[in-house]
Amino acid sequence: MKEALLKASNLKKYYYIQKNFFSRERIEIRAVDDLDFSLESSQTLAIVGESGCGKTSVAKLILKLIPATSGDIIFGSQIKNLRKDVQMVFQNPYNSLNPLMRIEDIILEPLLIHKMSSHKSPKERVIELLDLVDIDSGSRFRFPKEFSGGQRQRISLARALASGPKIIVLDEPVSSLDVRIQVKILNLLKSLQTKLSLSFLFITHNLAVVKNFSDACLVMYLGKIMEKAQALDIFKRSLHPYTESLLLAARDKRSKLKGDIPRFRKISGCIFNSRCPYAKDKCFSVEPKLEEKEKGHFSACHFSFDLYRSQK
Amino acid sequence: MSDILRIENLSVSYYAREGRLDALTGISLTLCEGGALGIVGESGCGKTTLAMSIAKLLPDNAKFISGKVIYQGKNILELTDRQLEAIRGKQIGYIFQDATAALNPVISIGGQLIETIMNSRNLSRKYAKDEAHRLLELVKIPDPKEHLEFYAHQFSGGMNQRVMIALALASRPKLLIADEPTSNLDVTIEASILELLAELRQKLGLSIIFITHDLSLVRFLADETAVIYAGKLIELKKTKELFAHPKEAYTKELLNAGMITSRL
Repeated sequence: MKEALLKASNLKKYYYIQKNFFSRERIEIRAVDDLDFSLESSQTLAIVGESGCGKTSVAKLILKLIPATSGDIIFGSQIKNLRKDVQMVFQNPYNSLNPLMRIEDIILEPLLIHKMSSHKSPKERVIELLDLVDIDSGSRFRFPKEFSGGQRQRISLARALASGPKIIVLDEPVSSLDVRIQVKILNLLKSLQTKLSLSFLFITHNLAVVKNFSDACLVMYLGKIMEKAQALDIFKRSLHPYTESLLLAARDKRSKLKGDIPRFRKISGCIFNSRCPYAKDKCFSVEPKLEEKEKGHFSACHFSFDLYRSQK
Repeated sequence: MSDILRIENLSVSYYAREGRLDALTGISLTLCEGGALGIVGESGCGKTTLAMSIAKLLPDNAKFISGKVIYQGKNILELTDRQLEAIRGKQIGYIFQDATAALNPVISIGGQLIETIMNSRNLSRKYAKDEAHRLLELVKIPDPKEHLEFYAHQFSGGMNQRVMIALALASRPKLLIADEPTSNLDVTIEASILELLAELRQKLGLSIIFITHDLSLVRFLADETAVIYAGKLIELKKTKELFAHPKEAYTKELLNAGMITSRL
């Protein structure tokens, strides 16, 4: 087995907020609750879930932008310098590029900071990076506002590539773009992955994007893993009602879920019980553990098997 | 069925210091009463300009070069502001992309609904409050009584979009224009908003214009779909027909993109 580039174990991140303006009482919010996963080289791991499920917290934890409450993230021997070898592309290309800097300077900055002086001058490297993401290098003296959303996302990508990373964390890289542009960016990412043997941690709420793009997949709900498997297995046969409803939403635009994520409530039993269409008595008292139901296919549901057998 | 809206040969241009930009050229569309029309195009293609022209809501630097927007027999473009007041927000309701930004952050949801209802229908505060309660039920917000006291920041994006729909429906409009109502929502929430719109159309006999960049969404709502590219109408067909036999290359490309991002 190959050595994992990155391995997270028992990763936890709790936030505490004041109950209301006058009270001292604090509410604990479990943004990331006991997560285990690993990322292998040249692979894509997708983390899927609705907003508020803790996906972005995971991204920030990996980059050490926020400290973990407990748990470990262990990088493989290939990662020598975290800031250099792990990079991020943010969701919103409209506010993640400095509006006062020219494109050239934006991409130059990481090159200078990490002293990436190879045989070429840094400015030549900028042109090379822009070519890599299909941006006309003649426009490198322009400002971010002169580019469209898709182009800006390419520029963010060029900036992330500048330090020659091994892992790129993609936090919803396409969800603020038009569908036609989404496909172009995804194709670009895929070709860069093979060209530069990159590993991606791909965070998204749209399962459909995952299918064509990732190797392994992690479905999260309220900070916990609901299902973990190879992406294709999940599409062939999902073993968790939450995944099933995400699939249904992406495919048929039909929703099976009731209401919103119960963010601040204490839940006994399965955390998904308030929205699960199949919830039974057991789900309200006993919390299901993440178990290997089929080879390499984990799911945190009491009923995975019976549920799907009774349907098909 | 009679037509509720007819757009004939509409052309709109924006004037800026740098010159003139033709946002729409020669658009013609019709929407029958109770119908649902999808308008699809990429950002910058003029779809929002089209949505805004329908109630003459464009900024001052926009000029109507030619054409008519006929709403129930009247040409909107020829009406005075006073006459438009009776139509804007009353007979034609709008919902926008970013609901959280569109709501007033310092007035409670109930306050905003009651104000809108009192203004548009001359009801007393007491009746308006009951009506607000009923509207939240209509858009399926649980515990309406409790949630009337909420502020926009206490709701999620999907809930705020429901509130926006309730606000748009407060004056009992005949036509609802939804401009990218789901594009920054999660897929699960997107699905539930689409379901809600389809249901309201049935229940209230609303006509809906649904604007989006994602061709795969119109399939679930629109009878007819118009594809716009660079301000021109390039294809207008029954939605089923459009999916089965897209004629233009651009439509095919949009269809493929939609397939990749939404088909499994």
